[in-house]
Formats: sequence, structure tokens, C-alpha cells
Amino acid sequence: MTAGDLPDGWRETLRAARDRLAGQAKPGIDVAAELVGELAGAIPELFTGAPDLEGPTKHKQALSAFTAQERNGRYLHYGIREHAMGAMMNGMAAHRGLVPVGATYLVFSDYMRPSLRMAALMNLPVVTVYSHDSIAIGRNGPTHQPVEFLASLRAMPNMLVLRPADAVEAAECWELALGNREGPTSLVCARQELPPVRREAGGDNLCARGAYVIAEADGERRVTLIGTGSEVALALAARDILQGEGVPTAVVSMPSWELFARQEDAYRAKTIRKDTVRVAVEAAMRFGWDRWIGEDGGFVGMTGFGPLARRRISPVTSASQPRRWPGRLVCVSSVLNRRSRARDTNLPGIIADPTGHNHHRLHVLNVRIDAGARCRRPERSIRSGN
Amino acid sequence: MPDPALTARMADAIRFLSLDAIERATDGHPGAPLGCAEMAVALFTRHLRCAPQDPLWPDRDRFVLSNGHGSMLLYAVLHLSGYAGMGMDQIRDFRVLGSHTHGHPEIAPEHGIETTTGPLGQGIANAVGMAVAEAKLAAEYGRDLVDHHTYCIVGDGCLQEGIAHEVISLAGHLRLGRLIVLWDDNRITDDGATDLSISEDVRARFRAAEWQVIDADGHDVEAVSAAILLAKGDPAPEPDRLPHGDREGPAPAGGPAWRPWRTRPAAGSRGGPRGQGLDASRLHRARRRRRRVARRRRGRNRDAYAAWQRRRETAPARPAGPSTG
Repeated sequence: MTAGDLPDGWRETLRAARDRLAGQAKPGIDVAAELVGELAGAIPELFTGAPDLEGPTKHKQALSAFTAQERNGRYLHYGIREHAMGAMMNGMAAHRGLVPVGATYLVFSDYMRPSLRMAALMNLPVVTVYSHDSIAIGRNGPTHQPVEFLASLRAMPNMLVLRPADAVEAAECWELALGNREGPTSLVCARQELPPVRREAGGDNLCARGAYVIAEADGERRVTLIGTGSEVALALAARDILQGEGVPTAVVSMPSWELFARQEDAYRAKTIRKDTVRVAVEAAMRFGWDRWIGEDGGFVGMTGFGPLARRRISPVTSASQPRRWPGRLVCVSSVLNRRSRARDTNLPGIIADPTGHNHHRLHVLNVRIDAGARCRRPERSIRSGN
Repeated sequence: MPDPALTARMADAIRFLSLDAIERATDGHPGAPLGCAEMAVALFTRHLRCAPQDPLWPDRDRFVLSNGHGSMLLYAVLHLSGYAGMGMDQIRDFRVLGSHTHGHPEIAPEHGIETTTGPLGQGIANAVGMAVAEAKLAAEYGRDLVDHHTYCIVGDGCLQEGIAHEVISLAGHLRLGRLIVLWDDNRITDDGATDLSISEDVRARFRAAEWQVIDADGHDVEAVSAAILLAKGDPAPEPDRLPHGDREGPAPAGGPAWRPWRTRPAAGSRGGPRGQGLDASRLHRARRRRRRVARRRRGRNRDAYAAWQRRRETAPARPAGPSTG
């Protein structure tokens, strides 16, 4: 009950869980919830809850509910009251004695935005786990599809934003979230199954660096693909194509901007190399990404709100103005670094979603990269259907 | 039991400290200090179990000033309670960069400030969370080690914000009986009278959420204290509704809707509520009172604190020891 650290042993519990999960394909939020179950055993003070989203967020696990009759419960049914949840968690953290965790959909963080800001202002160690983090949520439509939320949470000072790519990264990000005692953490998870991108157990917490090379280029690196969360797998698949075409490509997984920004210059310079073509992939708005990819960097992401319903998917082959409608992912080409030899290079974009979801297919995009020229119009555009 | 004569004057001491500080800073909100002084006196002299000599005492009562713009009320009462970090230098440095006495309170439990408030509604919601924590920890550690109350002063503004509706509803549903909210029902917000924008029966709203509602004269320390005592006896959470007189600000004769005095009046005025007719001699007597009150307050709750420490030392060890985030 006094000021202090979390009880001993919780990191070991997480590391063991991480190693056990290596190589497994699971929905992002399921992994986060499973880890909450393990952490609840390691940290008796853990107190979680959700605003009428027990089913989708699965954060109750084996915990019993805190109610008017049962005070020893560790899960609170907040009802559809996100703002109450956020501010009450702040109160619990300020009171000391509990380790509060809350879970909701990423779009509904808007309902509790003031309390997130207060947590950041107050340096309170409150963890909010977000599910349904992109257009990949399914057919609930744009009201439930976050596109600008990652940017807005990253914009908040003292807010640690983590977006793990698979089960191993989820365990590492949980360790970072609970280890962050200086402020709130947003742990952003996918609803859909995430193919494993880290298959080996053991080793350091790579997410702690904020971004790291998950697959280095085979040859002298010419392209750096940066992915976060569910898009890291897409970036890795694109790398395979590029390497096959003789373009040495590295993939960087970037679970946290804030942690990466704190690294020393040398590490950052060699991870996201400015002398390569930089392309970021995130199923969200580009806002903020120019910091890491430059104004001329490539971005595969959202340009507006998500689509309304499932559409038939076909590539647009015309080089004239592509028809614009919400939800279309466009790839902006990048200027090849002037120091490279001037020649045309086709940069295949991101291939179809390897998870096999029919909801969103991201087609291959051929982009011309001319030395010294900026290609504004893709030859083929990507559509996403819902 | 504190000297009734002394504590009866403590409200004036709070008012003058606040007015002095706001005058010196040339900015601030005197409404809550002027209007809620007796409520704060009743709380801090009769009920609030805290230990200024050990501000982080885990089993202390929590106090949240949800209408955080009335911050001088909090700072004045913490100063008079003897918190080491709330000396007169801090009162003088109200709203000065680097002091603990920010325009709106910022979390500093070592100085008696339990949470940051300012945006209306956040404080009462934090208080509900604190009450949940108390109830959960009491179930885990037992009432010998965890047995305290959460008090919160709110204004009309806090209760209008949507978040207040959410937490009032949830607190009633969870029957958080150790949560006591003191509502300064003065029917005033920034634009003027609250009936510009609200006409519902707020007491009924609390009752609908299964709160106990107790009325008391907000300027009568004994009445407020008795209401709090009554509230403690009931398992439902309680807002004490405190009808409040027209002490907040100037009332121009025959004028249209008026605005509560918040910032400094025109340069050259002496400051102070114009309706009160205060003079320099009263000001001087109030300063002497402040020093006497401060000396008496520092010894409060020592027995309760010492008893708790003894219980903690003899409590059986937990397999995973108590710790916090």
C-alpha cells in the first residue's frame, strides 16, 4: 500500500509467457488478454475492467467482478462509461494500492480523452489496452474503424503508445507498459489474428528500443520498410518480393515512436537509414510519419475514414486521376536518394493480406522511382474492401 | 475536540488567505474559498483523518477539490493544517511558476493534493475511483489496515459535465458508502445563475442513482459536520447538499444577471468582496487567527495514526507484500 515497485517476479512471468507464445498466430487482443490473466496471478494488485466490452476484450479472464456485494473482485463492469473508466482508473492510481488496467476499442478512446490527458499530466501509471485498432476490424464500418487515433495518442505528451506486431511483441509490450511508472500507456492491439513475425524464444526485449530491424537486407540495403502492428507482416511479405527482384530491403518493426525517439542517434540512424528509400506501412493516417520517412518518404496507409461495406476488389490500371473514395490505400512514391545511381526501379508495394481475411486485400502496387523525380501518380492503386 | 471559538474563525482565515493570495497574484477564483470555507473547516477539523506529518499515510482519508479552479480553498486549508510544503511562502507564491500553489491544483500527495483538478468533473470521478480502491483494499487487507473515507467538494459545474453523470450512476450502483461528496449548491456558474442552462432536480438525480442526499446550511460548521456524521452512518454514497447564500461575489443593485467575481477588479480598488465592508483591522486580526489555528491543527489525528502504525506492525505478512503501481 505504500509507494513502491511492483512485486517481484512479474517480469519473469511475462518472459516465460513470451517464449511460450513465440511462433503462434493469434488475434492481438486475445494475446493481450491472455497475458492479463497471467499477470493477474503475478501482480495481486492488478485491477482491470472494461466498459461493457468484456466479450470482445476478454480482459476478465478468471477474475471475479468487483460489485456492491463482492469487494474482493478485480474486474469492474463500468457499463458504457468510458470516461468514468478512465478517470476512475486515474483515481485508483492516485490512491495507490491498485494497478489499474482498462480495455476498450481504440475508437472509444475519444470518449475518455480528457482522462487520458489527465493521466499524462499527472504521471500516473495507468494502462489502457485498445482492441479493434484499424480498418481490419470487420464490417462494423467507419464509425468503429480508427484511422487517426494512433497519431492523436502519439501527439499527447507523456503518453507511451505501443502497437505490437505479434504475440511475442505483445508480451514485450506488456512488460514495457507495466514497467512504465512515469505515465500512462496505450497498448494498441489488433482484433484479427496476427501471423507470427518473431518465432524464436528468449533474448532481450527488442520492443524496448521502440523500433528494431526485424529482417535485415540481403545485400547492401536500398529500401527500408517500416511497419507497426498488424502491418509488419505485410512489410515482411513485401520484402520477399523486393529481394526476389534484386532490391535489398530491410524491414523495421516500430512498436513505439516514443521509445525509439529516446534512443541514441547512432542506433536510430542505422535502424531507419536515411540513405535508403523509406516506406512506412500502417493502416492509419500518415499524420506524423514524415518525421521518420521524410516528406518524400513512401507511405502505405489510410487517406480518410474507412469503407462502409464489402466491395468487389479490382485494381485501377489507368494512369489518369484515380477515382477517389474513402478507404482507398494509396502509395506515394519516394524519391530515390540522389547518391544512388539514377535508374528506374519498380517498387512493388504490399501484397495481399497474408492472413487470408477477405475483408481487406492490399494489392500490389507498382511505383516508379526515378532518380531526382517524384512520381505522384501510382500506376495501380490499392483498394480495400470491408 | 478543537476549540470551537477558534475553528469558528477558521473560515475567515481561509477567506482572507485566499483573497490575499488572489489579490497578490492578480488572478484567481475566489468563489469556492469564499463560499465553501465552513465546509472545509467542518471537514478538516471534525472529520478528515489525515496526518500532515506523514502526508503519504496509506490509510489517510482522501480529499478532492473537484472544482479545482477554487484552488486557494485547498491551499489555505492545507496551510492551516500544517502541511510542511504549504507554508506561507507558497501562499504568497500562488500562481507563480515554481510554486506548489498552481492556479489549479496539481497532484502532489506529499503536500496534501491528492489529484490534479481543473477540468470540471474529473475530480469527482477520481474520487469514485479512490473509493473503489479503498473498498477493494479493505476487502483484501481487512478493516484494521484499510478504513478511510473519500471526500470530495464539487460545484454545480462539475455536476453538469457528462462524466459526473457517469460516475454518480456507477458509484450508486456499486454502493460506495465511504464516498462523501459535498456539493456547494449555490446555483452559480460562470455565466451567472444556473437556471440559464439547467432546471432539473439535481437532488433527485442523486437519489435516482441510489445516493443518500442530506441537506445542511453550508455556512454552519456544526451543521455540515453533523451532516457528514449522518452520511458516514449510511452504506450508500452521499452528497451533502449545502444550500449556499449569496457570498460569492458582488450583487449590483437592480442589475441584470451578474457574473461571479473571478479576476481582479479594476486597478486601484482594494479588492475583497464589495458587499462585505472589510477593513484593515479585520484583516490584521484574521492573520493572527491563522497562526493560532495552524499551531493547533498540527497535532490532529496523531493517536489514530499511531494506532494504525501499531496495527500494521503486528499484521500478518502477506505472501506477496502490499505494493502499488
